[in-house]
Amino acid sequence: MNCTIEVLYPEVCTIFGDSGNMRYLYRCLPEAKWIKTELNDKPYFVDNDDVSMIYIGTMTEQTQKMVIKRLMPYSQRIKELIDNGTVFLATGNALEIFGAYIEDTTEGVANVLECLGIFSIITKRDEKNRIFSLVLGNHEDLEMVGFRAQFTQSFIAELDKPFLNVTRGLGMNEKSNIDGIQQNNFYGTYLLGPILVLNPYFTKNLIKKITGEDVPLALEENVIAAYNKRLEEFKDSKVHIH
Amino acid sequence: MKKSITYYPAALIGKAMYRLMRLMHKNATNLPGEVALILCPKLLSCFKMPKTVIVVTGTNGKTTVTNLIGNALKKRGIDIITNSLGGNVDTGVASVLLANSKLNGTLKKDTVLLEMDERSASRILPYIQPDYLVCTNLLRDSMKRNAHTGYIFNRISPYIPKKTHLILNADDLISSQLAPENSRTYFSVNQLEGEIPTTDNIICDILYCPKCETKLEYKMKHYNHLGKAVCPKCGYTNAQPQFKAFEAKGGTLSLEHDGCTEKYPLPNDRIIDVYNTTTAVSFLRTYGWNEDEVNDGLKDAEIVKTRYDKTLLRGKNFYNMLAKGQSSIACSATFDSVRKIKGTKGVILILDDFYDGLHSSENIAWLYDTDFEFLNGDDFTQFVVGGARAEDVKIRLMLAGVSEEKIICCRHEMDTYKLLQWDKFDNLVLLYEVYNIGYAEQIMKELREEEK
Repeated sequence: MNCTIEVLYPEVCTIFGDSGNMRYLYRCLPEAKWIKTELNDKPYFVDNDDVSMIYIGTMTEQTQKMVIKRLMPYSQRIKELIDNGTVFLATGNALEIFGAYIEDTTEGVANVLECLGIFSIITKRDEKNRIFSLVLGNHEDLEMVGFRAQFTQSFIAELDKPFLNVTRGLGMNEKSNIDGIQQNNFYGTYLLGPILVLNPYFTKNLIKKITGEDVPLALEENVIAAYNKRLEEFKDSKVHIH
Repeated sequence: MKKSITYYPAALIGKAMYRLMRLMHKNATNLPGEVALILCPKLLSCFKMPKTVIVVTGTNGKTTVTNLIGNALKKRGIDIITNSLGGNVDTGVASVLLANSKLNGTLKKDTVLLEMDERSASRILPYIQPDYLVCTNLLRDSMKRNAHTGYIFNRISPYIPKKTHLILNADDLISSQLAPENSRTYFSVNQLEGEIPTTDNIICDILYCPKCETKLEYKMKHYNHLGKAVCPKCGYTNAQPQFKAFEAKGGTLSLEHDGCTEKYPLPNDRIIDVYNTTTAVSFLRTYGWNEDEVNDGLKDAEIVKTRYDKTLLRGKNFYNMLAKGQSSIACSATFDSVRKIKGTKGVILILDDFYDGLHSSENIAWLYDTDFEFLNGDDFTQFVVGGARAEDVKIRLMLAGVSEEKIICCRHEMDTYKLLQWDKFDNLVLLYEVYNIGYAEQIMKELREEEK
């Protein structure tokens, strides 16, 4: 197996249990080359072509500013990698930094933060209005389960392909039943926390995209049993979504 | 202050509800205040606050610190109004003030001591204008309730009145930055003799210098981000403490103040209790008491037994400890204490959120911010995990390196103790989520019955 996985800013971009994704993926792919890029490091993907996957997770609003400032000089390179089919996984509000801008209306006046501009996503943030929900949705032919917790609502253009069609729970804004964005092998979702542990079949597909091989999952029997149990709960109308 | 036109009807109804509920043997900790606040949203500003108003907040330790301060004040003959047995949000504060005021809003005692939920600062502090605000720390807490420390900081700092004197933790680079214009007293805890600093936590919520964004160098961490750090570029570092704890042993806390050593009773030498006692002492000394008076006030102080207790059961040490669910740092601190227990350990884990269990499917993301790695070792010989999320906890334990053979799961919390293999461990540890205290007490009772 020959693959390189770069985790962007894990020390500050895993605030809602997102570190579980890389902990789990490491158990599935212990022989992969792992690169952990800290906030003041130059990302590995800038000067190297052998990156198979880039992961970035949930962060604070203050960290979003710092991350955008650091990635902005490389936005074209990121776009090139996405166009070339490199696997990206962005969980929670990491998705927002790849969009056009974030408009913060918490203080009553709109403050606009320019983002990387790779996708059409625009985000509206209001820290007085927190969204918290269980999410059940379809990603291609898979049923996925997860959780969202955020101050933002986001909007994508009609032509963009969402990551999930939400069948239960809240979508990425009050009026939609979609979540996230998908382009080539870029997967951006508001689902946060250990989504790779929670969604073993998605993880299997992701690993195949990274390695080109069918790799057995770590603790496969356990994670599939937990997934099936959660799926059943999320489909139960008596279970509250938030 | 001129009272709102709706104050009197709200106060009358709130007081009547309080009395009625008490007659019915109900706690009346929130409902009277909730109703009164609906009728008069500015209710809290209509009370004539007494001579001294003290508020205690922070992520961890606020209940214990409020109890320590409250007991000390009462012991020294100061009659206080406190919500230590009730709600710590605006409705709870309103209830306790309604219950202890005249109809015109004058409080019946000279001192008010309130525990305050961090998120309620904007609805409480501007109205009651505390003389002192004690903040134990700001750490990552429940994602659902508290989001993250930056969010909580912004929910407190702008709402602190200018007159309020702050008692802050210098070891916490987050909460120590609250309301920078206000007068303040800092406390800190040095690395203690025999203390093994916890350097392997998953979470550290302040890693970069708030001034120049350079990575901070931590010289020492008690746990998570509580410790001593310095920015190698601009020199930013912890504030200088006025009260510096430097020794905790044999039930005595020693701290340095104004170049002198002071000694105080310490109910327990766990680091969280050292912090709690240091916080209470720092407040009481700032409040004006001398060393002898503080000693007298804190003498015989105890940690509530439902939060920590150690007894003997079937000839083995039996620990029961609160492991606050959904709160990775609090839970990790408990796991850290457990791993430091000498000898082999069998552990019962009942960590599910009780209320999510009733109505929903709990968000288990917090398990991955929690240091389950602390529970991985040859000295951990059995885990019994109970509750709807037992399989998720099992997966997390296994990802932390615990072998599957050591873990037994059961759907119901009350089945856990029946699955213990007593020959496998010297110490039994019961870890329970705060709202699972009922289960924990029932399990303890059943185990005692079995022992007879």
